[in-house]
Amino acid sequence: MAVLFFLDKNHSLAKPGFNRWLVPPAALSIHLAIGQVYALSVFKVPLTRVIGIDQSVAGDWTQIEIARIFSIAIVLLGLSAAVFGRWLENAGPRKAMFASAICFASGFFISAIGVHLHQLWLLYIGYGFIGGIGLGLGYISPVSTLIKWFPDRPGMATGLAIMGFGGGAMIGGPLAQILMTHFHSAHSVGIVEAFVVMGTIYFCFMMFGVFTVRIPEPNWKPVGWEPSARKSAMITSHNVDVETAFRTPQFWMLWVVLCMNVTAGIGIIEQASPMIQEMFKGRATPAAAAGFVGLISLFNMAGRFFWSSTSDYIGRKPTYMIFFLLGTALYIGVTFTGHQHLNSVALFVLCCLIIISMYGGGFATIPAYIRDLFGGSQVSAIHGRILTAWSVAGILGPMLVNHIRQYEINRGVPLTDAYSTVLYTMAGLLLIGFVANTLIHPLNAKYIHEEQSGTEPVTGRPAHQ
Amino acid sequence: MVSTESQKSSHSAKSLILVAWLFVGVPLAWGIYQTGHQSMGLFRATSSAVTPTTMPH
Repeated sequence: MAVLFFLDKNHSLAKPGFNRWLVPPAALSIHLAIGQVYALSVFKVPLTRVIGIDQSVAGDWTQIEIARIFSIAIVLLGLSAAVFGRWLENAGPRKAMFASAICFASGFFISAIGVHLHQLWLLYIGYGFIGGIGLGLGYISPVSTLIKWFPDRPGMATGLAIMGFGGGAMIGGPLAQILMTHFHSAHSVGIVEAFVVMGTIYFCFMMFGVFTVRIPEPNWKPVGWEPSARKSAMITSHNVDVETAFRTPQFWMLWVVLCMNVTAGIGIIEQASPMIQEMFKGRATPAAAAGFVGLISLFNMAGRFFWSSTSDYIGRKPTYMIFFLLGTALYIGVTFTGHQHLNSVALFVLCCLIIISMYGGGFATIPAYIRDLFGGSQVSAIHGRILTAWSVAGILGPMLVNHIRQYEINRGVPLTDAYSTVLYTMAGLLLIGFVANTLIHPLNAKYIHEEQSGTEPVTGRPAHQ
Repeated sequence: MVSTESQKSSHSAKSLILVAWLFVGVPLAWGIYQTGHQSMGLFRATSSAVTPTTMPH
């Protein structure tokens, strides 16, 4: 119980002299861990060989059955972020990070039992359901805190954390492969042991974030920084409650903005490997495609930090305008890189990498956009609800790409050209996002609760910058 | 005496920040190295591939 007492919001209040640059590593430790979900596919083939070891045999799980684990986890990420966002604001980041670590690690341990007993439902419940709740809680837990510590650079601060989610797959993928190779034997594919070790490592890693995170005193601000210095009509000085925000058109426009940006980006990510091989048949080998997928991961991560930091200087709305207009031009441009026009693998790769950087940037910039429109007091709660757009996009994006591509092939379009309609559709989605972003205006005064105003004089002691 | 104590405190805070960033930075750098290494496959494979003399059909 003493530990739970330590997790209370009051006990995570920063003491005078606390340096705010300790908070981003705390947030990163959570996001780098839960970002492992993007590397879940490395378990896909070994999970189909739990009985046969070297090959799939009768009774082994199929890839379709295994793919459901990822789907359940991502859906639960969005749902738990939406459901627990408000609780998080009251409970504080430390308790939420702890709950996230418990859920995420338990997901691994329950899944290990599931593999050992060869009971797939335990993997659905373990990694999918419980682990998915850990993903949602972990994803939103540091956002509000970072924004409070970095009111001068909220985009950069949240970009740093959300960059970790993109980087998590880069650690989780190779780590899983090393562990499975190490524990592989004539009687085991090594997944049970790998799950147990990963659950333990990630739990300890996330505990670093739990013990390091601190919240600033109310209305704390960096020494020498004045909010009025960067005053803009799009940045409110008030705070709006999550329930009120939920009723505003701005909330739903933001939801559409995120949904369209993610749907279009997922289209590329999901089909990256087959797309480059089919559009450049004979030139792009499977090894080149694997390299392309690796570059996509790097640009997805880097874009999160680059674009969200850029948004601190040019504003959130112009940043998304760039995403949607440049993205539309690039998607159309990609269709001209194929063999019938420019036949340039390099241009194809360049266009896709810029698109992916903006996909990551869209994720990372949304918390700062929320803060600008609704104030900083309930960013995590509002962010949690907007993340349901991710769940929808996670289903919509791959479905659109696969169905349109198959439709084109069925009506006799050559494989090398089957992606043109897909790419035009993605460009169209970005234009919808552009319209939604254009319609985002400062909040109407009727939604602003004066009693929650964050404009009172600063009373907190300054901490180190 | 006070300034020595505050200097010590400042040094320990900086050391703490360095350790914290290394704690998350080292695994991330390892992951980036692994991914970067994998990405090299794109350049090796495309540079070694023979450019077709005729347009593929």
